[in-house]
Amino acid sequence: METPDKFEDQWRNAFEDAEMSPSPAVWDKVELALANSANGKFKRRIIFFKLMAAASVAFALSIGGIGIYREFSLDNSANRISKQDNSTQNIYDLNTDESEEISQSKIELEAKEKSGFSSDDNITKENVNDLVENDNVAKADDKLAQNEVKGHLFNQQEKKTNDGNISTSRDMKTALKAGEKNITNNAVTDIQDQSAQKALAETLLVAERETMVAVSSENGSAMDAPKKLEKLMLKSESFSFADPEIKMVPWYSAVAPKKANNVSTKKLWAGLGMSGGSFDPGGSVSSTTPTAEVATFSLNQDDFALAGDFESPVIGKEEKGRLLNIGINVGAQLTRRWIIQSGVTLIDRTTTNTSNVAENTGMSFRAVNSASELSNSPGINIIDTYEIDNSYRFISIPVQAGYLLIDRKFGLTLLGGVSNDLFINKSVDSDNSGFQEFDSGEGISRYNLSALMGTELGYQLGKHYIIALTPQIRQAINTTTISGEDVRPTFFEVGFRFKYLLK
Amino acid sequence: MTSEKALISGCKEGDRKYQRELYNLYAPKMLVVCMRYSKSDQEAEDILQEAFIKVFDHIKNFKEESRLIYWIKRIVVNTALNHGRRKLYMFPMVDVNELDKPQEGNFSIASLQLQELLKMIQELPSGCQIIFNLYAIEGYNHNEIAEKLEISVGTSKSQYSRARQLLREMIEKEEMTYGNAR
Repeated sequence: METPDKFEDQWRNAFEDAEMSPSPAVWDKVELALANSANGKFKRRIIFFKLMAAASVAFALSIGGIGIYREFSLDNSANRISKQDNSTQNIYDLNTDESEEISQSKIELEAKEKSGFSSDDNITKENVNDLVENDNVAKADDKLAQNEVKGHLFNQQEKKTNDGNISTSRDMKTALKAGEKNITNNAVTDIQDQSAQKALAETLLVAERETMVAVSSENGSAMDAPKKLEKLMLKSESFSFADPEIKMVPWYSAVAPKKANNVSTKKLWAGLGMSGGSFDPGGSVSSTTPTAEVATFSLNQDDFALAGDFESPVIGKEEKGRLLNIGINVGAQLTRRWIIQSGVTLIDRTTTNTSNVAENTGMSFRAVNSASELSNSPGINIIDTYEIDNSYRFISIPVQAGYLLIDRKFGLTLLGGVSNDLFINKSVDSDNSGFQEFDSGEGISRYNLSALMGTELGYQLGKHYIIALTPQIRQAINTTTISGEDVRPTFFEVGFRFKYLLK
Repeated sequence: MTSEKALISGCKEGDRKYQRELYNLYAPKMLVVCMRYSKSDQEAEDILQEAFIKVFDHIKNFKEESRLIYWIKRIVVNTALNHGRRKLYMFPMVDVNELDKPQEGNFSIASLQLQELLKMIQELPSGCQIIFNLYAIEGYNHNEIAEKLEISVGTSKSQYSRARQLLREMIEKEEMTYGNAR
């Protein structure tokens, strides 16, 4: 009988090393599918960036909108308060006028008294004396009159007309006049009266504001809603809503319509730019030469002239620094969506680190921030820890491609490219006045290549000018040292560009 | 010639040159596998194309715990099974009565060419074809096949038995027709 093993083994052996050539079309299809897949990923990334950009713009517009709304709201509030202040000022003016009249009467009476006039004058004098004697009574009457005025004003306040005209000021004036007449009839006002009237006016203002706040802060449970709505309706009958006038957003009409999809819209520009930011020197080591955060060296104690006790030299690593770029740029629009730009930029990067080692050059001291300097400098001294400022200068030639996400009056461009950075020099200085500044370029690569990625938010001014904000990330591709240490700093920059459209 | 490690590394980085090299190295072997599971050359190439796209898409996940060829073959077989499964849904496998008991005696396929063997396998009913491939050539047992294809062990056994019987008949017929000529 045939064994199963034998049967299966025969088939297995028959196909073990069997091969057949597929048609070339199979690889073509595989390659096409792989390319589509890669494009799909790229498209997904583009969509992601588009969404990110759209979200950023939406966020910026929201913030801007809130800011404008708040500004306009505050402006309206300020107008309202200003009107109220004017009303108050009218009250003050009125009071002042009345007070002046009363004071004038008093002066006239005193003048008549001095000139020794007739019995009528005596009578007048008596009247004045009576008035002075009855001062307390008059003040009491005055308070009553003020209360009366206040009440009257509140009533008048609620009699604002439907067409929005506020009769407060006029009514207040009338009421105050009535009150003041009472005061005049009863007593002579003095400076205290003026203070009281000012207090009255302020009280009126506060009362009015409280009333408005009470109306605006009507809230509570849903059960109270109908009652509160009714109250609000009643209040709305007595309050004017004409105050907050409708204001149009001033720049809305200035937003340019979408540009036509026209090849002739291709642009060519040149401009100036500057940017600043911060950067991480990169890696766990300094971007100069110290290879460890704390470098210790075996030196003879005799080498240290200033130190009382033997100390190890300690050179700290370079801390996060700042940078300043300034330069010119040129660019051209290649297609409807793609641009290319380049330029020349001077880059100044500054870092700080600490050291307790100094080199005595005979005339002055030099900062030592490099381990390699210790071995070949005869006058090494250990001193108190001091701070070293390292300044690096580069000439940069960036080449960037850009994708125009928004190409209108407001522009949004995604930028990516490389920057060719040529090292010029490095200066080392210290905050210690006894130190001498010197140039050093040891250990730094003469040519550095960096990747650039960022966005440009632009706004076109007139026909030929564009101002733009350019946040950007700059990542060193190759190490910036020649010692073999892997130092690839990352820079975060925010720049400003002023561009002139040549066509 | 590029080492397998370099091939894998290059393919993981998406380098088209290494992808092409890997394809050239393994596609001929895998096409035979596809032929065994398909009914036509065109179908086999479709399976091969789909399988290699999966290979390049998923090679980042290949942990190099086994040889690359076995990993690729597993993908090819699974892709072929997915194709075959569609047919199985249309023509579900059922237990087959072993009416014809396997005949005793010598049985050899040594005299047959690869193309002839492939043609015989392709002529098997879909269920028999898949189970024959999995059991006789890939080396799965009936329990594993039953689990893989979501069928009963009995169905797997009976389908395999049927496949053997059909193949025997085809081989005998072949030998009778061309035996004297060979």
